[in-house]
Amino acid sequence: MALEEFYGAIGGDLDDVRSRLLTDERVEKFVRAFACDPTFAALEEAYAAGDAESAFRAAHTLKGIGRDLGFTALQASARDLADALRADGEGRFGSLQAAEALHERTRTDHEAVMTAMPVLDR
Amino acid sequence: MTASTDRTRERQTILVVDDSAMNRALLADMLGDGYRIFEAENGAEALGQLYEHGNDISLVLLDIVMPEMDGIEVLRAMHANGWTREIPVVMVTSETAADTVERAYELGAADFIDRPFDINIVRRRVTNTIMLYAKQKVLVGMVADQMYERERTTDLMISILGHIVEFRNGESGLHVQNVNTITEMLLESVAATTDRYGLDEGAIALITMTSSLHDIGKIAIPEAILNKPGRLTDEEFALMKTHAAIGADMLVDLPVDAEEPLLKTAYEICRWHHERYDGGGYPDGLAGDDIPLSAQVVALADVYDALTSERVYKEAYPHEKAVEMIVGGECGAFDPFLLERLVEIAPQLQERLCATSSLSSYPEATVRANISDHVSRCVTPSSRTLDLLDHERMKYRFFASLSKEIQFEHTTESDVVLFTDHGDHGFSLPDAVSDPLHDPQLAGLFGPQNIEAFAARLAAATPEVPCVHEDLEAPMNGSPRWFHLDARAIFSEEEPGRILGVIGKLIDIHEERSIVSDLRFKALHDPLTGLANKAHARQLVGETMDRAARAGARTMLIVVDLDLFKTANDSRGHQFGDAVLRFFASRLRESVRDDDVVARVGGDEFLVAMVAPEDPKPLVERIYSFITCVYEGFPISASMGIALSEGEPASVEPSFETRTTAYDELFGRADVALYEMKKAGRGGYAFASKASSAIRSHEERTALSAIDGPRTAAEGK
Repeated sequence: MALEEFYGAIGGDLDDVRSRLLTDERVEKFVRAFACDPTFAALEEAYAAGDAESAFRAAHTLKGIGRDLGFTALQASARDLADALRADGEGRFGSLQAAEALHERTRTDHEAVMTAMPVLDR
Repeated sequence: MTASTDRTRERQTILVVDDSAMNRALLADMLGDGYRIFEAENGAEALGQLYEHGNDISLVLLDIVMPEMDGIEVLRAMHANGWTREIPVVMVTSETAADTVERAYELGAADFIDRPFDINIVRRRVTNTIMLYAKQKVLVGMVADQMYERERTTDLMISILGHIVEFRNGESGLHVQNVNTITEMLLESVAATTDRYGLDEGAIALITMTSSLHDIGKIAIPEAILNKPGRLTDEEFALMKTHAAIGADMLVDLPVDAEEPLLKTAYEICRWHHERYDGGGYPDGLAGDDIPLSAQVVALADVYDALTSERVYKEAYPHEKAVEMIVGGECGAFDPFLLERLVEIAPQLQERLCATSSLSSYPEATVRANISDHVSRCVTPSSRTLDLLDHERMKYRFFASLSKEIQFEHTTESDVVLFTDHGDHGFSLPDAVSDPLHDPQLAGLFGPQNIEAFAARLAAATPEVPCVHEDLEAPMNGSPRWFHLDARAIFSEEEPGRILGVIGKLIDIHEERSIVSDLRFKALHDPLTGLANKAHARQLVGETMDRAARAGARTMLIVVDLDLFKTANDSRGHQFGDAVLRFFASRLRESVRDDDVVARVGGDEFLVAMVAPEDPKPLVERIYSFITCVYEGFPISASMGIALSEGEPASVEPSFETRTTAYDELFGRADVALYEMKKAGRGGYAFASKASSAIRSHEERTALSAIDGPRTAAEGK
């Protein structure tokens, strides 16, 4: 029940995740593991350091994990952020300032996932 | 059947390469316990693992977006090393830009797994890919083995046929072999000079092999004619000449498709190997390029070998003479282009023919080598070669682990060092390090100065002297160890002087070095007191004399004798006596500076030497009073004889002889002074003068010196 409640709270797609990861134990294990995952912290760090390349990589990884775990909102905002920061043909990464709004949205969506975590322990 | 099929039954190993730990964990979890999982969090690490484990890795799951070295670069490196043929790489990524996907496939990626991961898809793709590669490996091996067997059999049959004819001719037994060798060399020279004839490796091998058959028609010629020692009559010669057409006809009658390349070539060679370029040959009088190249080349080879071999009707001509005769047209006309080829190969020809004739197993060995070479070039390595490679690798690892080697490899282009540690050293090395010159971990292990010095020596390496050998003490983060380092710079063949990379190994020599220095110490020191022994003292005093000479000072040598030592032994036992000696030795050592010499030169006789101060008396006085003390109730009293070198530090670098003489002279005077002193009474010191030894006793014993006290055994001397 806790999983349904968690995915309800964040607007995630539990059915899809279940179909791909097969067991609820596995889904819960990796949702919990996400709470300890350093990728979002790496994104914030890259932003603070003005490092667009690292920020792109973190956003990209976040998108991937978000998709695997069915975090619909987070994976979409991380995807948009990664797209905005992606290097052009000459290897120049996107502007961190220009993507600030997307960064903000990613942060909000990540926050929502983290806020919902305690639901799993109920 | 082979190691590769055995491997498919074992638990497969999968290398998961992803910079996100979460992704690696997800994939590992999805693959389940059926696989052994190795992980790498960036490209450099992945290459390190591949380098170390090689074909033990059954599949690589490779992320594209990674820091430092991304997935595409890993793939490129694997591709360049030919690993993608052996180890399937499945890309895992949400990066589905068409050009990235295409680039990955071009570089040999086997498949893609898209995000989000679906457990069934991940498992299915992985098992399918592994099965596919394993099957392919086995099939390639089977094909190669079969080709090998078949070609070997064919070649064997043909050389048997050739030898039958040769045997009947009573020829040397080497004619067929020689014609083979010359034909091959001529054809290789032709192929290297022009592509007019479209000669590839296959065609060369076919003509060379088939050249064995050139004389098969001779089995229809009567033996009396074949082996006639004298000149053949016209009639006999006409009969002899029929062997060319007969050989060809024998082939035509075979119930085999005449278009079969081997048969076609054999026909050309048999029928036309006596044709000449100007149309003056037989049986058909063909001229110029109407004679197939195969027949022209074998004709030339046949003539050369006939000239240089002894026959029933002629002596052998030497190599140079034979070439001269052929080029001069004495043996009929040949295509000038082919004659040029003959002249070109002439210098190597004789050597090659001698080499092959001295190998009794020549046909078999060469055939085997040729075919396996050919097969291995045509197809990817077979299971046989993989097994051999595995065997070699295992052998190497075994020996490397015995010597506790650490191997490393650096390529300039990637600037990554890969380490393979074969020993259990109690410290861990990273598998791969990028930018090694500035890596803090390496600096902590090997020391920045060592690394810089090594880089400098490598930079100075040349293709003539590409190796660097040195012993170095590595700090190893605080527990220093000695290593022997052997390295070799790899130079570019295209660009002279450019270093492509470095290979090398580090051997832990710490223990050997400790043992050696321990043995060295033991050889030079007295085991009881740890002081220098007599032989070593001589060396050390010599050094002190040099130092004194350089400083313009004198050397002072003191011989110290422990008074009444025997009473210690006699009254309280030898163990106590030893303790007294040890105590006295350390007391003596403490009485002087660290770089002064202190040695035990006899049972209870010691030696002290140093650069003498301007006025040595206060120093002597201090030493004397310091060593006069009591040890566990045993009063220690010593007598000292002192000699000073005559202060003329003339020669700049004294020779060994003068130094030895100087030492003996100094020691002798000090010893005499001691003796004189002891004669006068124990406990005191005396300076030796050059002429005589005047005694200046500690407690104004000048008065006593007149008393010629007998030196009793009890005094321990």
